[in-house]
Amino acid sequence: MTSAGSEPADEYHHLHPLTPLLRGWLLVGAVAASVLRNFVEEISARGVLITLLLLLPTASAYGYCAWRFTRYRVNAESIRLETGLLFKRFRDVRLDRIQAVEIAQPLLARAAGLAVLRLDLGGAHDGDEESGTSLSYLSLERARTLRAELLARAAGVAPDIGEAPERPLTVVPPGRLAASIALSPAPWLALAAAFVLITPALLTGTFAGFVAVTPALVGVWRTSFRRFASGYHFTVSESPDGLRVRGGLLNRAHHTVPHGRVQAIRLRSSPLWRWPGWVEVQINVAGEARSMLLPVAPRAQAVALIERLLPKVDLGAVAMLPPPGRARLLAPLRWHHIRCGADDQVFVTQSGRLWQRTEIVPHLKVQSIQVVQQPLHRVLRLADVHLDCTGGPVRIRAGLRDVQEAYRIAAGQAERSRLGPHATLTARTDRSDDPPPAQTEYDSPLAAVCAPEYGPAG
Amino acid sequence: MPDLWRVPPQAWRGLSPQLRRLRRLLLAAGALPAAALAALVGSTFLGPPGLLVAFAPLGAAVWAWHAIGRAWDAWRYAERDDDLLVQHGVLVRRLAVVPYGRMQLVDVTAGPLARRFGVAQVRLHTAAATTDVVIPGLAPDEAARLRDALAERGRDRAVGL
Repeated sequence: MTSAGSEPADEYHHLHPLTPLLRGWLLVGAVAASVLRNFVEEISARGVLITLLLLLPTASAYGYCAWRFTRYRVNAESIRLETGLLFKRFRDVRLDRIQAVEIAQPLLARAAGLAVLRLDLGGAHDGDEESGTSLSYLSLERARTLRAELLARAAGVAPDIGEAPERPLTVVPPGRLAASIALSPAPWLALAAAFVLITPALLTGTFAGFVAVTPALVGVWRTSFRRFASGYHFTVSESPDGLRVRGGLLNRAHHTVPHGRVQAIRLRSSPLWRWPGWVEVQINVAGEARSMLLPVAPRAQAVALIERLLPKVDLGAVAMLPPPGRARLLAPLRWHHIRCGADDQVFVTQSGRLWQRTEIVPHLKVQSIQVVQQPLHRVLRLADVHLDCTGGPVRIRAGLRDVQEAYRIAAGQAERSRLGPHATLTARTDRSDDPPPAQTEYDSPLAAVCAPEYGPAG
Repeated sequence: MPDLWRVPPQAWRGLSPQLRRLRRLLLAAGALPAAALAALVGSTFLGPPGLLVAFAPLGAAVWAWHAIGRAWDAWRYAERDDDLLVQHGVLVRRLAVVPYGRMQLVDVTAGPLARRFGVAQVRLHTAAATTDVVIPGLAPDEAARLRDALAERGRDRAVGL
């Protein structure tokens, strides 16, 4: 494999030659297991030999052909993947539609020095294979150069500048990660439950309790371990083609979110994290299943990262307004933690008493706006405002606002979404394919009504 | 809030009366046999006074008849210069604002019964899975007009993700 820069742009490439082996190991293992089970009664070396003699050439011939007929090509606008022995399938992925490029290294591939390159398009079906495509397997180096090439082409830069230099922004030390897991309630609740169940068993001398509790303990251990493994050496770095997020103990994940593709952000802290002042940061990226941006970080660090993601945003300066006092009737405990506010770039909501959340959505990323009024809300003249955004776990909801204010928020949001592309083109100036914003001469009756700093209804 | 949205009252459009008729017909088709069954069971076990049991399903049907009317009344939509407003709900009131530039798909569907009655459903999709905006009963011509109008305005104002 030569490097991407030295080849003509329209040349076809093959995947790594070890691909069939890695793809087929499951199949080979299954066949081997069934063969073993069949022969375990009458182990005849001859039978095994014949099976292997038949199986091995067939499998390797198929593997070779599948590898031979799978190829890809990158040109200025798209990457084309051809697969299929008998039924050919061509898939063209337009580079300017790529939402994120990820390099994943499952355990086995990592051992062989290979990697999977995943291209995410912002399809309507999250996590659906059909909405993007993946190249598995490539050598790690090839995957890196190809990713650099794709991102550079997608960003409209010369494709042969090599991998863009990156600057680490945040690293999560393993010690803090372990402490954060120990400080989350889930493992302790499970331990307490186990204790409650086991104590009577110990006192009475019957061990049925252990049997009941073991799966739960294993489950807790597994989820906690998974959190640790996925967050191990978690690094967020900045590069000209986007934000690089990588981490993982066993399976290494490494993905890049191009600039301006973050749809929404959530900061969340569990009850015990408030003491060290830690938060978890998740983001919505269209078509991307992975949403973790930072498993745990001091709040100031997280805010600094967010302000780097959303330039021109100063989270501290956004005026956060409480809901009207009568909302206490519906949320006596939460009332103090429900807030919402906006500046000219983002809409911010806060909610939750124990698990405190701060959710941020740039005005440009709001897809639709809903005002929902439950029957009880109507009695108290309250309403919720939902701002729908794409993909991922973050949901934006400004709860329990005064009705008039809620409609004013919705109208203001609609107005911003109309003005948005003109006013705030910051993160997307590098995109060339977008149609120029509609320059129609609209009168702006709402602008006066819905200035960004709305106040309580008066 | 109409003045907040700057939509003149006559710009709000409602659903086709055919939808209300279709729903009430379905209701009657369910309620009358239920009442007959209740009367039969009641009179078998309680004698003639048991016929009164039939009033329970009938009463529920009358209430549902009105509920259908109110829900139908509450559902309305307005096309503004840059977005579509859809309002519905009697108990839980909802107002959805969908900017034309954010629409990805407009579906028009009509089942066999709905086609018979001449109503079609328009559903809007944006890139957000939580957007669920439906206009359930429109005359097929109006549905097609709305679909084409929305698609055209969406094209003019399209914004990437």
